[in-house]
Amino acid sequence: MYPVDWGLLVVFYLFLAGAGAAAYYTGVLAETLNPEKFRHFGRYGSYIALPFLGLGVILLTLDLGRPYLFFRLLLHFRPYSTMSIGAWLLLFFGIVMTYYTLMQMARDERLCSRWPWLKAFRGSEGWLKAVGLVGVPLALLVAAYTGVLLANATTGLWSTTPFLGALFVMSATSTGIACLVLVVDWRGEGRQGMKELARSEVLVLIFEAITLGIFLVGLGYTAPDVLKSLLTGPYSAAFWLGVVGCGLVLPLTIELRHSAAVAAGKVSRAPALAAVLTLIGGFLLRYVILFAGQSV
Amino acid sequence: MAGEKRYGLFIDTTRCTGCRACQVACKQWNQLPGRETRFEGSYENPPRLLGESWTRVQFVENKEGDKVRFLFRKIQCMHCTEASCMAVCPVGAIERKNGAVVNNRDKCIGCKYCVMACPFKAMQFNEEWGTSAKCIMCMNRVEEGLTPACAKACPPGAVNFGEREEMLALARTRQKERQEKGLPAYLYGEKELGGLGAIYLLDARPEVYGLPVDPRPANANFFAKWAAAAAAAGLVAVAPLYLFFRRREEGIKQEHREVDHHVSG
Repeated sequence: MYPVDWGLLVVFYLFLAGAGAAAYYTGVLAETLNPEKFRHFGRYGSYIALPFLGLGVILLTLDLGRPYLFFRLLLHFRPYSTMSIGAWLLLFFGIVMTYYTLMQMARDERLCSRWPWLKAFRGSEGWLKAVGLVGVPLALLVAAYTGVLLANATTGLWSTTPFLGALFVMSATSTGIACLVLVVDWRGEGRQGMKELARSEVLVLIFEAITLGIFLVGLGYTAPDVLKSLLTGPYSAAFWLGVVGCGLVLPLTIELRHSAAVAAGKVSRAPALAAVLTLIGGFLLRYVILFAGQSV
Repeated sequence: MAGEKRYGLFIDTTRCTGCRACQVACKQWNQLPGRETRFEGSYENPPRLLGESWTRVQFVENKEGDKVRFLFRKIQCMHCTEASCMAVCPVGAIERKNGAVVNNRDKCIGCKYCVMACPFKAMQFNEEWGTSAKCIMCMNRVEEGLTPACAKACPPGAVNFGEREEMLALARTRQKERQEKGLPAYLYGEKELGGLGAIYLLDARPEVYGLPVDPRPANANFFAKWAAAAAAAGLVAVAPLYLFFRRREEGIKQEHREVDHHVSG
């Protein structure tokens, strides 16, 4: 009957920021560690991160009661305000990531002929790599802060255990890899790297399931009634079917059942299907946590 | 003004009759509009604090044996010493003035983090202003030597205002008086969150009123929460990537280079 104070705009923001940041650090790290096999992964990651973060920040600004005052976030630094930390992280990551993305775009002849100003961002291989790596810890912190932001509140579901940040990092990573899987499936040259992406997705989904388990067990100890309302209350259907079923069980089952085909280098759409399900599950995780948290 | 004082409210729920004069006085002084509410199974109205309702009388129908006792409690900002809203505000819009936690509407950007952080759900969002809003212990009256509007209006003297130390002493005296008569008397707010600016004498255990027995500030375990997230970040950055991405398959390297060259060229 009363609207929640952090609603769908924030759900979209948390999802976009997590997936975008994770696509960036996964892509950049993959290309850095194995440039031959994962050529262009840094580009894919940054091409995902730029629109995701850009849209996310716009949504976040629109969610403010007075959006035109958003700049005040950057007039203060308050180390015990996770939102202040987040605003500064978004600024620094945004600058590095945008610069890296422009450098990647400048390496694309087609884009350069359309927008000649891109040539100003041309740089050496080493410089590109260095800029990309500077963004990695910032991207990891952006993914982490979205969960810590909620954990540093007094809502029972978010704050009675310290594990929400960890859960959001895992979920961000699984959705970020899912975005990369979709890009590789759509555009990838010879679906290069798909096998490894699919395998790392399996591993991260297992991590995510374990983290979710720890989070729920922790809740059972510190706030059993909150746990009960999450598992059986108004958001239980979205939790079980969406977060657990669609976001963890189905993608894991699909990936594992088709891992042999993928490993053999066969063209399989299974990772892409698993990726779409992972993205839906990741979105619903933010939705359930945000709304169920505020309903109690 | 000569020096900062530490003011406080003392709310004696045993004297409250549930007349809601405090609610009206608060709305009048702060020029807050009314809001239509619906019956939700209790005579209390509004059913919770709102951006334009900074105080309200909670009605508790408490079953004690086969009797039902009607308990009243005026609710507003608790003016915590360890104020979560103040800690989490990203723009420093919340300040302490003479013991009260005062949110500065001019500085507020409306991010609602303080609404999420308040352990007592006293901070609420005001849609019309686009800022958060709550009781400021009528600091604009107090600074002119007046008492807060609710304390001024309360007919049975359930809402008291003064220096916090005096309020605490008064609360202890009243508690003792009741205890001597064998009546229930519980103090709330003396130690909670570093000491609340609003001290309560309750007619039943705090839980009966839905008050948290051990309220925690929003930033409790601040570093543990960051550490858990950082550990997860370290794990996802290192484990899967190291396991899968580092492995080089030398045999097909050349072939891929050709493919890449062909496509990007």
